[in-house]
Amino acid sequence: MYDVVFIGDLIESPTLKSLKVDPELLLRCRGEIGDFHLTYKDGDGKVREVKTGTIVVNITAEREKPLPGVLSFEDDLPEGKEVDCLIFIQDYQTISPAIMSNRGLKMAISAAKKFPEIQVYYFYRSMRFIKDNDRLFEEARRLGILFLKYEKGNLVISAAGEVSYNREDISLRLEGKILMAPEIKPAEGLERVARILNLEMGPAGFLQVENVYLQSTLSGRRGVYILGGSRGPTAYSNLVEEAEYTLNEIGFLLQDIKPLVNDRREVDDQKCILCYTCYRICPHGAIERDEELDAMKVLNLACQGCNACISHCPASAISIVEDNNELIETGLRVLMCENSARTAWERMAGKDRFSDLKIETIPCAGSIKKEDIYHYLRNSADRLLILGCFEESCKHLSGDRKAYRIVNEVNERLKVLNLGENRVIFKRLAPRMEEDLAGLLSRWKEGNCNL
Amino acid sequence: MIVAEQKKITEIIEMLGDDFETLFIVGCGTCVTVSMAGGGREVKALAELLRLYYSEQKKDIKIETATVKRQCDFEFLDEIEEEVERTDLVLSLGCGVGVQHLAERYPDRVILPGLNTSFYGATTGVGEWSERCIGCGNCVLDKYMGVCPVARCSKGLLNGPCGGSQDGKCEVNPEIDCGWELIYNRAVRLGKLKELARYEPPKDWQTYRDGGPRKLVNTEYFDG
Repeated sequence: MYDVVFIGDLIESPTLKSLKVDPELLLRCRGEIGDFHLTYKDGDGKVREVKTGTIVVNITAEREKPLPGVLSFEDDLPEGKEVDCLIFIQDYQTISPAIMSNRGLKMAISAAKKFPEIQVYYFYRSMRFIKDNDRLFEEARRLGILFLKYEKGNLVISAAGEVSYNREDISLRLEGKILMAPEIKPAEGLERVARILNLEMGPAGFLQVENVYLQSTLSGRRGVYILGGSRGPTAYSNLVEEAEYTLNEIGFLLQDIKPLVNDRREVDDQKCILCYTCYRICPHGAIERDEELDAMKVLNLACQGCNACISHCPASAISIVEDNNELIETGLRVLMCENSARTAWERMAGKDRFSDLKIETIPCAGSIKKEDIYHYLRNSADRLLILGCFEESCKHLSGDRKAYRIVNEVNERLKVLNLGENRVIFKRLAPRMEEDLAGLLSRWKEGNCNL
Repeated sequence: MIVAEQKKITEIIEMLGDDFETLFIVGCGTCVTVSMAGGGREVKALAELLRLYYSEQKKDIKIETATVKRQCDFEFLDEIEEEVERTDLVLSLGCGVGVQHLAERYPDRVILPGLNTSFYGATTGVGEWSERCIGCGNCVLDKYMGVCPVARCSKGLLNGPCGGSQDGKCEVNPEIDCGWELIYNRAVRLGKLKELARYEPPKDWQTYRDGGPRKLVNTEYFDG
């Protein structure tokens, strides 16, 4: 049993028992935090299975020169004797991370010192500052390096390697040696690793999902961390620090792994048809196939209680054990996500004004079932308000989008059947928006749909 | 699997008409559950929506529901005999096969279709399915690198793409991948491009619907 298996590069730790698995040789991942089972091919092509408490994906990103024939910020400086000028360019296709500016600035400074007779230009769209970037920037300017800010479109590099730069006040045509910040691209096998580990992909094919609950090295799946080039270009700014605190956190976590939710979700193996919908939509990778029962099962340490599996199972096969969530029949009903609106409600003064509303807490707006919405509406709940989180603030990553889609579908059907418009409303709130919540509830109570 | 989608709710209500007091909605627990059109979840949601609709119309309609494992096997249809017998109308959320099989099993009951049966396809995304086979009855996938020109070329061409293939997309609809581009790319990848140079004679469509409704007998089992 390992404490941590690194998919990609291993980072030494004095306290954690670690193993490195080549991403290309990873075959399968089962289990959950504290007890992952990884299957992979070893060097001899033999299939092996290991157990590990946690997994760290640490695969170096690819670096790609934005244009053929140019030098990269990571190459050696050119001899320089034969050129008129040196042209440094960052942010050419995408904004380069701060670490690339750091390299570019250092390189430009050594170039200016090495060839004092040659003019050095430095084109950038956005200069990001970490570590000593501001000091380097100052030093570079003192050395006479010309910094020119550009927007996409006003810096053009011709096929012959001529750089033309046009702004209202400046027009330049330069021929010289071009040095460019490399583009940082996800490693080729990263998507496959994400599929095997059942992780959501973030923007541009990296694994960092933009979400406030997923600060830096956390993935949506408990016990799976992402480091370095797997996380995205910004990870390169604090590689060492991030690795250190992640390994510390793993050590701490492994001492005592407790479930995050009290009630268990169970799959009825007689109803489950193995369609894999729950597996695909679970934002926490908390579902896998139980091979003995030949049905899906919910992993209880991995589950974070959003109930998206319950509301989305096409076979209605998943339920909460000792489900006490019976449908109470009252007038105006508000369903509040426990992670946002419910907190705002707790903070809100003057709750008495809303004593006629039936307020209910739900684990995630994405847990709402359309059949329950119709049921509420029929049983005297005239209208329904569902309050969830903002995008990127959803603890369950995509609950707000799921809720939005379900509510839309319900409203469309109600509309075509002349059963009223806007009877179900979904709104996004943050935990500290108690004043907005009060205003919104008063307006909604009075029948105002424009919240 | 068979991929289907639910009919528009207004069409379903019109189809049900006014002349009934009890309705039984039957889902199917196999293909159309996977394609999220007629499984337990959809059955419950549709029942709740109809209950809401009829209650607001001040109509007293009793709705029962069940989802059987497969509507295309009589044994599963036997399980719902009582419910079918005591209801005026049966609405099937099975594919076209399920609806007809229910009608065969219960000749005295009106059986209505709640779904439009779309095609045979694979899951290509969460909530997305794509056609892969038309059931022509004479599989040619061995000759086309595992990509079916009959199902995946809009024109079903057997000897290379038409002139409407642009940047890997089909002229019929730019959302559709050109089937022949897919065949070509796989042939290159498998190092079998030469095999595509051979001429394929016209397809014998007798094994498809052109030979009339089909029946299949497995003589190892069939005791007729």
